[in-house]
Amino acid sequence: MSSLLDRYAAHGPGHDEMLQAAGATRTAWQRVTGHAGIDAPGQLARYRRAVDAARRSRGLAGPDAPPWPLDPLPVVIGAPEWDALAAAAAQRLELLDALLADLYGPRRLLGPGSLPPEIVIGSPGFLREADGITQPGHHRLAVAGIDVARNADGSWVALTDRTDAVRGLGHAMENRRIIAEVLAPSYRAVRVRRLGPFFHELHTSLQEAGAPHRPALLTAGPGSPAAFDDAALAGLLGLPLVQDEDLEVQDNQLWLASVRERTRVGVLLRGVPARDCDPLELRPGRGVPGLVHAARRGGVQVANSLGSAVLENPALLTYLPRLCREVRGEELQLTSAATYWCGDRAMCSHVIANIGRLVIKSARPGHGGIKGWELSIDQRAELSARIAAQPWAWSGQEPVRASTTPTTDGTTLTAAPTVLRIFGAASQTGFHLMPGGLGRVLPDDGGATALPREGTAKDVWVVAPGPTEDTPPDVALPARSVLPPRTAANLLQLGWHLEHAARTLRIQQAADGAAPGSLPARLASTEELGTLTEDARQILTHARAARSELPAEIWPVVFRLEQAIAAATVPTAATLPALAELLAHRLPHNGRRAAVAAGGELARAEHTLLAMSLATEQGLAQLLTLLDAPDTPTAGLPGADHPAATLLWSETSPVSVRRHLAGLRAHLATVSGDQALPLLDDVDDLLEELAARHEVGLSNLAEELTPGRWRLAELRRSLLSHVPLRAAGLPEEEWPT
Amino acid sequence: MSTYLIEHRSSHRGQVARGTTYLRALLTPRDGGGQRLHDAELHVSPDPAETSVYRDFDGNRITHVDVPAPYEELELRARSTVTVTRRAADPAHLPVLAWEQVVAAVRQIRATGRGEHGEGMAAVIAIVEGAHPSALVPAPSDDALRLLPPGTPLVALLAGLAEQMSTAIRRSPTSVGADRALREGVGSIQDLAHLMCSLARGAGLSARYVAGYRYEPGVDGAHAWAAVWLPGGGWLHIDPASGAFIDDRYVVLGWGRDAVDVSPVRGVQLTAGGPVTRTDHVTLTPVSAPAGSAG
Repeated sequence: MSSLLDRYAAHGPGHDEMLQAAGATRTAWQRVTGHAGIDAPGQLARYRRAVDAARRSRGLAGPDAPPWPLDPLPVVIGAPEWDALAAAAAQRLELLDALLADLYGPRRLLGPGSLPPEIVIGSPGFLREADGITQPGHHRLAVAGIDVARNADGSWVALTDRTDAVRGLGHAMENRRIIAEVLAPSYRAVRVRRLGPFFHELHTSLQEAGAPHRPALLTAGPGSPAAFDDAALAGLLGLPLVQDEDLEVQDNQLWLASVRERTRVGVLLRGVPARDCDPLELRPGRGVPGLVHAARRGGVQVANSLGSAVLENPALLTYLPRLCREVRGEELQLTSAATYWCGDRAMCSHVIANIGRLVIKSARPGHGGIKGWELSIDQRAELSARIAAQPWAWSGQEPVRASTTPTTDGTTLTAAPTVLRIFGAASQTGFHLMPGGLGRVLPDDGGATALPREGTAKDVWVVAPGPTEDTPPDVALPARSVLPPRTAANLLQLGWHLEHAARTLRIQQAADGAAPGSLPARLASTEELGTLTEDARQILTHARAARSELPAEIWPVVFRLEQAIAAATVPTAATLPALAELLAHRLPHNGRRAAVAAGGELARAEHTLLAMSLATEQGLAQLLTLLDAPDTPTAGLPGADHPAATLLWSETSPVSVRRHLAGLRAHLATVSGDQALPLLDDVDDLLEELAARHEVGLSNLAEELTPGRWRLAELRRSLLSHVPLRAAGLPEEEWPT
Repeated sequence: MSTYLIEHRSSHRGQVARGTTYLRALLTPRDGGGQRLHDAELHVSPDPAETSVYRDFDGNRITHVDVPAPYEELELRARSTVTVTRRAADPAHLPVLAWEQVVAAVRQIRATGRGEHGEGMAAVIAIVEGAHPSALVPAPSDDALRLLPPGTPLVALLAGLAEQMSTAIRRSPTSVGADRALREGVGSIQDLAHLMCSLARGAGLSARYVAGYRYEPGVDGAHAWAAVWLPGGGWLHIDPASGAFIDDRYVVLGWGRDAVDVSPVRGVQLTAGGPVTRTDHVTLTPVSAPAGSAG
């Protein structure tokens, strides 16, 4: 054993995953740490930096940077132990799913001897509006999480069930990709179960549940804290990532707008809390109006089913063992941390008497828990009073002394209490667990609550005994064809700003040292051109908004762009072409690539017209040079051999506005089918007329070009800014008055 | 016994050019509980693309409607005929229980899900739900709870509270909130009903907000009141606006935790259109009971 590990062992964490591992699992830990070479001076710090760099280059930067660091050392769990935990977790999820069906259906389980009704009725996660909604598929929970920790006696306990909008699936996969790359020798040295098949099964299950209609993933959008997680999950599942405004209910069916033709959605996997799903029946302001009723009429399945957050009420934990016997006729295998519901008088007295050593949890979904031992005497009294006022809304939970795992602080290893969020996806045959999950280590405070905001993330490796074997590559999911208009607009914007920035750069280079009053100098100084920084900002915004559509390779480049902006330096000439190149060659052909290309052609046409309107007659010839087409033949064109006619209407010059407009038209046709573009026809007519006139190039060219430029700008607005129908509440008149 | 033809018109005006308007309407009175619904119809103009009826968590009859644009006026016209046989609650025929005893009964049901009178699960759930706070029914102040004299039988307590509210609180056309209505002595019909719920729930009782209609010649029929649960006596409907238990001048439309649950029309338009204004109008016309329906 290495000296770092010796010191770790000597330090004596009594209840540690690595030190207490035996047999094959112990060997796996040794291989992982051994191949990582953690004893080399500075190695741990290097790993941490490598992890940070890998995260940034995968787009986990800027507004999408996770609030917690990622530890290079994974949690290692042996396959036999994992299989037992997974089976117990699957049973627990089956029970929760059955509970959900009962609570929104016959409610046979409510009542004396089973579950006090107040736990359900008083739960903010219980949605009365979802009452009576049935789910035609086999399960109401499509995918759910459980936060588990290993207790001092060596058994796994559940701290919290995560059944509303499930968080962390995308991050779990990201963590795996990063750690597998940073610790590549370790990853190869042990046989780690892959995560890919889990997502493939979930995809299949969603697809089957909604067949023949397609599934989609609802996200709150690029600005939300879950934006990265949702986009990553959409990518892993091959689902269109949609927002409220992309969806519309018609005839109690859910439809997804697309630039070609709208598609019906069979299953809506929600990345947003149920309450934000329908402004008509649920919380006003967010969601798709009519969605709840569409689900009620069976026109769409919402997954997890609306109101599934009721299962997150910690008070339920008190009653799960009893419910498991009643519903399944068997003992609950994955037990919960001991929990006392304050709605019961005896338990309430117990909680208040022991408030200083319990974790106090509210029925509110997402409430992380209050650690009683961190409260002052006054705070305890105040919390006790709040509990006494609404006892049904509170529970007390015994703290779990979670097992530790070796975690690096950059120089040494510390023993940090570890909580795992494990995930199960429903299928015909029951819940399948992701072999791994989202590990989190907490500051050592003597007791695990739910996953907190602080702490450090860890990858979780389930290792099988025996030598490494070649695992088959992940099966590719079918390419998405549905392109929501909002996403199409994002891609067009990307193309436009990339091309615009490229031209701006070229002009600035040409203007460097050019005579004042020359075309490059005049172009570089006109305000109409806009700034590179603004282009770069727009590129970042639209790339993030369209994240699930973009190839992973672009993120290192995007990150360089972001750094350039942050440092207030001009993005280097290399960054933008690299990005443009990636988008032009790595995007799929199903309309995405054409959308970016269309944006580029539009930018070129607009830019050339702007340059022409600033140019003198001599400048026009210079412009052709500037646009990298000095050899353009000018003879034999309609409208004489004037450069203005060439720039406007040459069929042969690759830089003519005519060619750009033709390109724009062709790309838009690819994106949208045969969308009528009367505006583009108008521009065509204007420019053709102008090019055909012999006096083109006279001093009033700028004026002559104005209508064309104006219309092109209008076309840009109509193409680039997708204006969706907005949901607005009808006035709530007071009734009666 | 009285029979009424009830006409409830809800009209939305505005230039709505495209998109769909989704409506959730509670415009059909409940059947049963001292009233009988003979017939009910709901006309929507322009013609809806989709209409369906379901019962909500409290058993109210909800009509879901999708109306496509364009329109300048969206109108819902509900007509129903209801015979009301209910008489005002008579203390002589009701269990005499001090309100604290009722609180104890509610508490037991909340903790265990079991009642003394063999209440079924639906009844238990309703009692538990009525005991919970809700958005428009705030917890009352300690001062407000002093309005409840210790040891008073529940029926007398409710009659006394309603009597006080009807005389001490001046009627305002718009709501100010239950707590302000009590503090400032001015409040709407809705405020009074919420205030009654607030005091009852604050004391530990179970209470519902009830939306409905009240017949009074020449006056718009829209009304609202509260109902409080009495073990062995059911839900006592008490009208704090008139200071009395309800009788055959009242028609129950629906009930819930507060006014939001039983708003007659809620709607969202999916549109790029402009503002919409809404007006509601209710008339109750006494008619003779339809043939064969007496009793």
